Amino acid sequence: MLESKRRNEIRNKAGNIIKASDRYHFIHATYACQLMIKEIVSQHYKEECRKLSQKIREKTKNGNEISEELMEEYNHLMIMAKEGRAHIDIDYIETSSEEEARVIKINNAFVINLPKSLAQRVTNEDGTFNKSAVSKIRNLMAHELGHIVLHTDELLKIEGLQGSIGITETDKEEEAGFFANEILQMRDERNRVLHSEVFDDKT
Amino acid sequence: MERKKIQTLIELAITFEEADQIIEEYTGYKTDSEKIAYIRGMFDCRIIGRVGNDLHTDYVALLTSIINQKWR
Ligand SMILES: [Zn+2]
Repeated sequence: MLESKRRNEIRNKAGNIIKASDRYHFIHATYACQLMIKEIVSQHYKEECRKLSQKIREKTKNGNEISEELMEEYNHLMIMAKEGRAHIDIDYIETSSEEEARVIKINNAFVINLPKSLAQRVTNEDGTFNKSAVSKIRNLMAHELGHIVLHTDELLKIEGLQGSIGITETDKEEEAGFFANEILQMRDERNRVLHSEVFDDKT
Repeated sequence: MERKKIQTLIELAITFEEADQIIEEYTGYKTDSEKIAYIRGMFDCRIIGRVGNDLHTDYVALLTSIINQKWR
């Protein structure tokens, strides 16, 4: 049996996690985008690893040491694979309006920067959600995720994957907007189905 | 040497305001576009997606991402 002091500590911790989780919106989609990028990158580099491993085995067949050149190739491959392993992060910044958001690529991270003031309005004082703020954040997130999955090919440094090179900034905006509409509609549709199933269960 | 010092001080900053103050103090740059050019030359960072086109938000997002990368 847990002591009541410990129960309170655990309850507080759980409460803090719930509060922190309110800061993240559309988190499943964010995580899925991240997995998608990792999948593309690892597929590419698995193939490169196979090729290099084969090459090393052939060149060292007669008991030769791995040449400096091959070692360099190996080091380069490891660095590239690591650099491509981008993750998505969310941050909140002061913006001039709640209609502003940015995705910044810094080292291995895609950071989605959202308006701080919007995030602060997500929960009402009584603990309920402010639906309009939630929906605004979700829209910004969906748009920025669009940029991440559609317009970052060249940043992953993979040859032959340069789908967004040559696309104008205006086109990119239109594409991200289209992506956001599509993914949010699909999400709404799925939620409708899900909720109606739950409802059916109860009746 | 001076450049390395500024870079270190920016990286150690905790808040955007602190980092921005360091940039102003050591470089004399006052406008957002000057500051953006400066930090983009110093760090491997870039804007790859946006909603809205406020230049100051560009700067805040870039600099905040730079100073927060140490926690990622
Ligand atoms: Zn955009």
